Amino acid sequence: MYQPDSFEKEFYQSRANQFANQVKRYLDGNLDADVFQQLRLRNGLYVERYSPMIRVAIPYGQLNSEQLRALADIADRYDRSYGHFTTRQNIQFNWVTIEDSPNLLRDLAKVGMHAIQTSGSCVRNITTDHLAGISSDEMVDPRPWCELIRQWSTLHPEFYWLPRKFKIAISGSIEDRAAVRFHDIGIELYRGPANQTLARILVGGGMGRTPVIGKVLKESQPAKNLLAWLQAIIHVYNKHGRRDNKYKARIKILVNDRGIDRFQKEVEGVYQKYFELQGEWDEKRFIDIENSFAPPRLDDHAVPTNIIPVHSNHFLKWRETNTETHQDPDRVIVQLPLKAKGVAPGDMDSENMRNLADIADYYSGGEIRVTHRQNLVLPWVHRKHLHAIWQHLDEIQLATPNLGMLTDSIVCPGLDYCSLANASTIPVIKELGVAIDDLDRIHDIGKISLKMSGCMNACGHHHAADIGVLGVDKKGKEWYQITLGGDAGKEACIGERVGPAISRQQIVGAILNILDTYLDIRESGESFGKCFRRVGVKPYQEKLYADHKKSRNHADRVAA
Amino acid sequence: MQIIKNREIMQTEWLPDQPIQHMNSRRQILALDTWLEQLDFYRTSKRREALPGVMLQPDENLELLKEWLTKIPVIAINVENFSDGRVYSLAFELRQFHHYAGEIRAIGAVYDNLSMMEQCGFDAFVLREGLSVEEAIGYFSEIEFDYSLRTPVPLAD
Ligand code: HEM
Ligand code: SF4
Repeated sequence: MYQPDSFEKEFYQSRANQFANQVKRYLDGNLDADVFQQLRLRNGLYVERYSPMIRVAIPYGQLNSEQLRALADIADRYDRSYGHFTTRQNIQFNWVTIEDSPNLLRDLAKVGMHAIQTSGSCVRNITTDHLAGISSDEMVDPRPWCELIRQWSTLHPEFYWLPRKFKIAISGSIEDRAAVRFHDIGIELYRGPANQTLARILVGGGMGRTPVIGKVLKESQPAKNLLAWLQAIIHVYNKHGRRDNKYKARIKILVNDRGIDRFQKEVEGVYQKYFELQGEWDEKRFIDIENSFAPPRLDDHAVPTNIIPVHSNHFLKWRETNTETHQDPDRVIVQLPLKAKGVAPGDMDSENMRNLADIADYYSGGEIRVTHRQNLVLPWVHRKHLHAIWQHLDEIQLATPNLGMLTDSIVCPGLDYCSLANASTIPVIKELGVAIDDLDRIHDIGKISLKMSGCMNACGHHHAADIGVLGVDKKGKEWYQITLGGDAGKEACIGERVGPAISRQQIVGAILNILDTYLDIRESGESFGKCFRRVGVKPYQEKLYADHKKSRNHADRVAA
Repeated sequence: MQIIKNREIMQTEWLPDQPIQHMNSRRQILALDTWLEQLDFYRTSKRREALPGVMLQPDENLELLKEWLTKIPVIAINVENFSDGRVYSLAFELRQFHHYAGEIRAIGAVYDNLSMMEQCGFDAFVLREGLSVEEAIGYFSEIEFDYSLRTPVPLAD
């Protein structure tokens, strides 16, 4: 896997020192608050509801065990001994102080990590398929391209002050696991007839209060011209994106205002100029980057042959649910949902980070991946170790067999941490977990995506979920809007609203109601998405609001 | 007036928006509309070898200036707002797309970001009032390192 070199570690150190100086000037009253705000955001430091929070980049979701241990140390030293993995392959520490933050960044730098451009109006952490380089449906390994774009976009002098945040995602497989259609720029890599790497470039996708599916800007471009395309797109956006209204500042608004055709023409004009400026493609340097993603050297420790493991139902269920086929037939992809019962989705405590780092060292070449579904992956597990690793994972509650199922939900921090939230999210999901505490029932429902955001900023991707839940504010009370039938993959679509918002008391019941309707009407083996496309929103609506009315009448009568 | 030019502190004679009696002084920076209005006069005036400097706003379109660029000694860009990235693209266009070789001066809300501005083509800086010029010289070298040097696409020379 890509290992940051000493050159990079020094860079991150100098960046942390620069920030230390800015913090000092701010605290001494020598730096204006609005300027300091912009500077701190570009170092990942937010000031949230109860405390400052720092967001650390995990570029394209890849971590080594040393880095995971460092995150554990940071959680102990600066936070309350846990961290929160997000949907954009970052980890957030929710309880830090402004004064401590430069030292936190220095500790990160020692292991080649940083928080540069994890917030603020600039190019954010580049995300990709968490199964890159290991999945069985891969056409092009996107990681070297991610790395190239990461280097290019880090402190890019021209594009450090964009109208708004800018998110880039890349995928190189048949199935899109990176939600490229919901990004400011989405890139799909594939092979041309001569086996060359080609790129499809999509632009103007995004969630937030105006969800939009990205539009194709260019097909079949040689991937080695990607940077020139990115510069051209972002140059046009930097110049013409709206800066007067932050709700209309994303590139999707610019693309929609101009229309994709006009936008494309404008970009093409600028592209020519960047293309001419671009030096000769440095093949050697790119190959160096590619080589840094070679599989790790794996020590496949022998397994004692005289012990025949008892394959309990538990193990079999886990194997069926949480593991996937690997490119290498000797290996298995092991998924670790961070969704055990009673835990906030995506949270992990420092002790488990260290436990997992040890497991990764022994079984997975020291590598861990972070997924956009707020889960982790061990990418290099040998088939023969499956039973042993399951036991270790089960001990530390990382073997809940619910990958891709109802309780493997994506949830933003909501009212528990976020100052923008309208409604709580984590408590709702915890309640739902208690209400449906039956693995057989969850397996009977099968694969389904439930995603929840605490406000219309849509950090929880609720637009792109089978069942999306959005927190809304009604006269200071928490209410929830339900949408159905969204999808983040190649068939990207935005969920459809079921009806009027539901109260905090009734939201868990409403989700259960929708699940019941689905179980009633689905044909054998039919996924939620497929079923929804067949029947539409109506049956859900009718059942939900009929039952809802009944229970309301009941409540009224009880109250009376 | 004190400015930072090529990473050194120096005095400048080029001053923005002189009152009209200084019209014949050689070292003026005029707002673009004034500049365009008076272009013909300066162009035919025997008393000057170069045109006056011009002051651009972040959203200015360079088409109007294009053919005069080789004769303009100073272009000042007004950084109205610290976080307005358009000024970076404007300087970049001047240097890279139009090969402008004169001074590009940042004025207005100029704070910490001198190094990135320099990489985009700014070579002169008038700091926002109240900031220490001596301290600001240090901002250039806070981060010596720059990934763009390692990417196959060069950004600025
Ligand atoms: C608690 C602090 C957070 C704040 C203040 C915050 C703020 C925001 C805002 C304002 C937007 C809307 C941007 C726009 O539409 O222009 C947004 C979008 C988004 N946020 Fe957050 N967020 C926070 C935490 C998170 C977390 C924990 C995650 C991951 C679980 C996350 C992932 C995202 C994603 C994926 C979007 C996508 C929407 C898009 O890019 O169109 N955010 N966030
Ligand atoms: S969706 Fe809203 S509530 Fe949730 S994290 Fe984003 S901004 Fe906060």
